[in-house]
Parts: sequence; C-alpha cells; structure tokens
Amino acid sequence: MTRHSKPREQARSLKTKLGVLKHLAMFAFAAARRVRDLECVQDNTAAIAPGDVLLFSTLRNEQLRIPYFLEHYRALGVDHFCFVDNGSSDGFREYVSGMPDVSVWYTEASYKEAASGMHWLNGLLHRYAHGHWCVVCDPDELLVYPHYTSRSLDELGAMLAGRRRSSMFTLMLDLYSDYIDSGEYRSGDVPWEVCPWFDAHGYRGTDKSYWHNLHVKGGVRARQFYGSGDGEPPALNKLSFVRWKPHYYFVSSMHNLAPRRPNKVYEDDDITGCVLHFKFISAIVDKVREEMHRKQHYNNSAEYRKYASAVSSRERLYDADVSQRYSGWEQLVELRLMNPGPWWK
Amino acid sequence: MNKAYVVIAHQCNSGLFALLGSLLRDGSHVAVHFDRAASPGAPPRALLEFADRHPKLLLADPVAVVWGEWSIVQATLNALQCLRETGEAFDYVTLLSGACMPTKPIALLDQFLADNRGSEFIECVDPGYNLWVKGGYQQERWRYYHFVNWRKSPHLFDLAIRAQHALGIKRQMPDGLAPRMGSQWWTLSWPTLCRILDYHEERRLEKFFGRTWVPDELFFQTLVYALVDDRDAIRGHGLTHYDFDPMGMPRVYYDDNFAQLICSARFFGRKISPWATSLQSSLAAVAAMDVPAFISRLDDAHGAAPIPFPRDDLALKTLQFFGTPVSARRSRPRCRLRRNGRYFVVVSCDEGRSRALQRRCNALPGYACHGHLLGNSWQSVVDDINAPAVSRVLSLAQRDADRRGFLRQVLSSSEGELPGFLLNPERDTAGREMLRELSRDPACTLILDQHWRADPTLPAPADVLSLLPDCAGPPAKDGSASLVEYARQATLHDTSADRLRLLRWLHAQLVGSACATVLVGEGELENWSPGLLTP
Repeated sequence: MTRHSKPREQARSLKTKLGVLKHLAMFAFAAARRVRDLECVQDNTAAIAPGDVLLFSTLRNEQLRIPYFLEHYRALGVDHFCFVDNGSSDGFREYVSGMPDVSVWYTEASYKEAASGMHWLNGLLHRYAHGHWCVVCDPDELLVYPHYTSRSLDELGAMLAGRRRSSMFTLMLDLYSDYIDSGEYRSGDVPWEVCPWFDAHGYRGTDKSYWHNLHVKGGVRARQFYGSGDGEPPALNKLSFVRWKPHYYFVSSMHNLAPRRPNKVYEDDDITGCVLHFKFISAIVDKVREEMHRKQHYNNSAEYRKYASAVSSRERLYDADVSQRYSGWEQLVELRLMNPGPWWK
Repeated sequence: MNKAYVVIAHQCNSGLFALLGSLLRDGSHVAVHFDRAASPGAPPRALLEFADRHPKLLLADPVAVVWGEWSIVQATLNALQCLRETGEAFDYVTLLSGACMPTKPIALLDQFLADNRGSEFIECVDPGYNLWVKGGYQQERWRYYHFVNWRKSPHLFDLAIRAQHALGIKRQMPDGLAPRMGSQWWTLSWPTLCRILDYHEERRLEKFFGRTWVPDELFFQTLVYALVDDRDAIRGHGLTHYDFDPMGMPRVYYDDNFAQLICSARFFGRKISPWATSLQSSLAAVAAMDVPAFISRLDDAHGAAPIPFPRDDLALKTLQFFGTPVSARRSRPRCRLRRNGRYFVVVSCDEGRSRALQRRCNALPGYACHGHLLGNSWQSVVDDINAPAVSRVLSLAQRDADRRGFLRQVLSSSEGELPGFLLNPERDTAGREMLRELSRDPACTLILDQHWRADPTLPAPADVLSLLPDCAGPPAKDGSASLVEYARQATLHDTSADRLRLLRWLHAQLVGSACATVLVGEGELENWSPGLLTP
C-alpha cells in the first residue's frame, strides 16, 4: 500500500493542478466574453499612473453608501475607483460624474450570468490593473487593517511586496445594529456608528486543500440564519487586497484566486485585515424586496429569502454573549480577528 | 561645528526634500548622490531645481547603483570627492540614505559632536571573533571573487562560492588590511575621510573591493580601523538608528512611529516610509528645534507613546549613553533589564551555597534577592518573589512568553534596593537560555560560582590567560567593571580544569560585554560580601 502511495499522490496532485488550470482557462474565457457587456460611461482611466492603488467594485442602487465609501477609501490612499454599474437608477452616475478619480462602466446584463459580477471585474482587472495593488470589494464593505488610520495602502503594498506577497487575507466581519433593519443609515454617516455590533467569537477556519485557502465560516449570519444546519453559511474569507498579475483570476467572487499561490497568505507572520460588512441597515427591507423579485444572487438568492423571513419576524441580531461594540483596529487585533504580522509595532 | 553630509538617494520624493531641507538649514554642505539607475541621464528635475536654490547642495557624479556591489561605495566616494573640491575644512561628515530623517535637533548633534571631538562613529566589528552577519555569508564576502549578484541569481551565487571553496581560493586583503565589518551608515571626522580618500587614490582599492560582496559594509570599516591613529577613538556605532524585522528586512517607520523615533538613542533614523509625509514634516520640525524646546517636546511624546520608553536611552542622556570604545564593543544591541539601576545574578549549581547568599543578602538593608525567577516550576518562582508587582503574572507560560518583560517588571519594582536573583544553569532551562542575554546587560553583575559547571561540549582548551585581556570590558565608570580584573587575578592562582573551562566559556560569552562579572572561588560564595556591589 505504502509502496504505491507516492505515485498515487503525485497523480492526485497532477490532477488537481490540471483542474486548477482548467478553471483558469474557463475563467479567462468567461472574463473575456462578459467584459463585452460593459460600456464605459465615464472614462478617467488615463489618469491612472504607475504605482497607483486601484479599487474595483460592482454595484446596483447603492448610492446611499457611496459617499462614505469614497471617503473611507480615499483616506486609505486609493487613487482610482473603477465601478461596474449594473443598472443603477438612484443617481449614482450623476453623483460621481465630476470626479476625476472615478471611472464607471454601465451594463444591464445579468449579474447572475456574470457570476455575481466576478467575470466583469476579472475582465477590467486584466485591462487596467497589471502591476497595481488593487482593492476588490462590494460597496457595503470597508477594508480595515492594522494601523490603517496612520499607514496607507501604498505602505501596506510596499511592505507586502518586500515580503514577496501579492495578496492580503481578509476576514469579512458583519456589523449590525440590534435588529436586522433597525440601523437607520443616512448617506454620509459613519457606518459603524449606525451598526456598532459584531460577533467577537464564533469563527471557524478550515484549510481547503483544493484552492490552498483558509475557508472561514461563522459570524452573525451563520449564527442567525444557518444555526439550525439548513444550508452552508457564507464564506467569510476574502482576498480584498491584491497586486494584480497577468495570470490571476478571481474564482468564487473574491474568496479565492487562481492560480493558488496568492491564496496561502495566512501564515503566523502574515499581516491580515478585516472587511467590515454593512449589509444590515434599514435599507435592506427594500433591497430584499427587490432581490426576491430579481433572483440574481448566489444559490437562487437563498440568503435573501432568509433575510426576508428575518425582516418579517423582526429577529434580534444582538446577542449579549458574542456581540461587541466595534471600537477600532486595535480591538480586532486584540480579539485575534486580525494579525498585525510584521506590523506588530 | 562645521558639518557636512553625504546623502545616497534613489527616490526623489517628499522625504528626500524634507531631509535635505533639515540638513541644509544650518548652512552645512550636503553632497547628494542620485542613483543613475533610477534616473538615467540627468538627476530628476525637481532635484536640480532644488540644487539651484541651495548653493550648498552639491550633486555628485552619478553611478548606477546595484545593491550589494561596489557601485554604492563608488557613489559615496564620488560624493566625498565633491565635498573635498569645496576646499572647506569640515569637522564631521555623516553618511545618510535618502530614506533617513533626523530624529533629534541638529543643535543637539552639534553639541554632541563638540563634546566628542576626535571620535569616529562607525560600527567596526572584527569578523574573526563576531558573527556579525546573521544567517548569511560573512568571511565569504571577501574571501572569494564575486561576479554574481545574489539578489538576481541566488543559486548561481551559492554555486560560485562553493566552486571557489573547492578550488581552495582564498583572497587576502591588500596591504595586509585587517577586515572589519559594520553597518553602512557612519559619521566620520574629515581628516580620517581625507586619509581614506588619499589611500584609496594611491592604492586603487576597487581592484580588491570591487569583487567583494556588500563592500559598503566592509570598505570604510576596514580603512577606518587601519588608518586612525587611536583605535579607541572608534566608537563602534554610527549615529543612525535602524532596526530589522524578524524576516531580516530593514524596519520601515510610519506616521504612528514619531514618538519611538525621537526617543531613540541616535540622531538619525531609517527607513522612513516615503508616504509618511506627516512623520517627515514632524521630524523636520524636530530637527529645527533648539534643545530646551526639544526637551519639552520629548516629554509630550513620552506621554503619548504607547510603549513606556526606558528613560535611560533618551536623547538627553545620549551624551553619556554613547561611549564604549571599539576594543570592547558588542555587535548586538544591549538591553537593560533594570531601568533604574543595577542588579545581580548569582549563577551557581549548588543550591545550599546560593541560598545562603540569598538569606544573607535579604538580611541586609538595601538588598532584595529573589529566588529562582527563571526556574522550571511556577510554584517555586512565585514563592521566591517578594515583590507584589509580579502577582499579575499568572503562569509559567506567561513568563516564558516574555521573559525580559517579566524580569524587567520584577527587577524594576524594587525602588531603592539592589535586586538580584538566583540562577541554577543545570536546572533552570529558562535561565540557561537567558544567560547570554544577561551577560550582555550593562545593568547586570553576574556572580559566577566556580561550581557552575561549564558545557562539556566546548572546544579544545585555549590559552585562557592570553584571551583574558580581551574581556576586560570598558574602562570602569562606576567601579563595577574592575570586578573583571578581580576575576582575572583570581585565576592566576587557580588553574583547576573547571575554572579554565569556565573562563573559556566566559570568553566566548562575554567578549566585550558591558556586564561586570565576579568569579567566586572555593569557600567565597558563602562569605562573600555583597558590599562589592553598589546599588
């Protein structure tokens, strides 16, 4: 048995590698095809200079969050924003029209067919992002990392590059107020003042051998909506900060990259960050109503169906045992949700 | 004080101009070398325009700098030549990189240099005795010919070294120069630099050094050691603060590190992040301050700093803080485990004798001798501590996570008393691991019982007495170092094998150590008077 194990292992590893290659080819093809859906309606990409930090995001009717989103990421040192606007009708394009650091691509094509917008972003990343450090996130996600208040993304990128890393592992942290829809968010508010709570404990990470990544589950969504074992809770691991290379493709919406090397960036001495996720604000009621109708989200919008029932039964998200009030990056480091790595001092 | 600076830059950014502005402010000359690889043709326009506005800014002949190769020394020499052509008689010249910033007022630097006139501030380590390069090639850097850059092709680099080793190649320094190594950044007196320039011009040293690896950490160090009249004038460190992270990468300082930098015991700091513009401007403001204003600023920074910095290391004391001559230097930074004074450690394998000394110490006013703080069972550690401050440490694991912090807490808690503790190197695993560090602590007095058994795996005996003068340590400032002399005399009358081995160990561990060592012979530990130690 042992005599055969080595060739078998090699065969298995070769099979896996071929599988990854197959994925890579599929995603390259899909990205090249789907990116044709996009029509550039605001093109400031000529302003992108070498070494700039770029941000890529897909959005639909998120104008409420955009002012603070831009403020947060500009403070972190993002030099250029690239948005894919999937049919917004809430004045987003008018709002950003004068901004020299924003480019917008418009499409009314199917979000679902573009694999939650991933193919669009893959296509744009390949067009503009080679060699740039990029933040890739949704408009309800704010990236934080150790010392983010005093060290910019340029500095983070330079440090990671010095350690031969081309990505940073981030944990998605859901923030919420007492009830799913009780956070009354007005445009421009600091989101963590409206939704101050997050789960301090209850995250489980497993090494996934196929993508060489750390698959993390847990947090308020797992606790509240998947507690009884119905369905798989959403993955909380993300690669939100990547130095894009010509052979990279996101697979499964920003959770993993192909090829697999940049996924394994969660060693003990690696810096990791968190993505603060503000889904549960009062506007979720309208969003849920719309998405139930569009059915454009992952797994037949199963998650939105759960939110719909949570809204109607007024479920309480706050739990005195695990909820803590967000107070800053130091707290996340102390709770070991974030690793300062070489930036421990 | 007529100072000049050499700045080696390869990035033209706000940090470089902040640095140049602070250096030029008091009318000093600054020779800038801008890497030709980073800006082919001419230096960047912004730098040229800056030079037009500042007549004392000189631009050196640019060479394309490749990391680890001769080009960086050539760049420095070009800049020095530029300074020489001004015809000025400088007092001191400081070598800085474009990513440096002053961390103290330039006025304080003036004062410091005036007080230490005649000293050479350069790290100058004898690679025959010290492992200066951590986890890399040391002697191989000049023993073999280097044609390959390790950064570009590490495997070929290793292969070339192995091949030359197999062929038995062993290059010798020209003129029988004794190799010395150290950090690239220095502050040297102008006469010494002139001598180096003359010597280099006459001997064309690039023939040899051009084929060494990382000559910037070898060339000036070797020549300074060879050319100064008084080697005790070499202070064994530069005036630039730098740090490495666990990966061996130079540590970068960001906007939130301001307090740490101005509290460091050096006058310049590197590397400053090129994006940390607020740090750059605050440091530029510090550089322009006068000394009293800086003192009050320092107190602010102290209050705001997240880490309580040891006051000993503060800038105000830099004037006394520097000063170990190169013959007694260590290569690793020392760490004081007691901020407010000295402490002692009784190293003995004989429990009865060390306990007797502990009891006698504790009976005397002004002494507080703890037990086996670094022992293997937590109960014995807790029983042995008579300081309430330590009760916060709850377990052995917690102590082992931060032994230094633990010791610092215990030792600093006894105000007005001279603290000490027992260490049994046979039983206390943690203690054995800490011995090397304790022996480097200038605040520590090691009391070594002769019954301390040396490691039987030590190499063959050497002539101990001939080695001893090397560990004589710095000249006594507070009388403590004369205890080493005491130990030396004690050996002259006793040549037992145990003691010989112990001394060899001592030599290996304590060469150049600032720590005082007392060697106690038969029958002495029980009766030995702690009065030798002054709190």
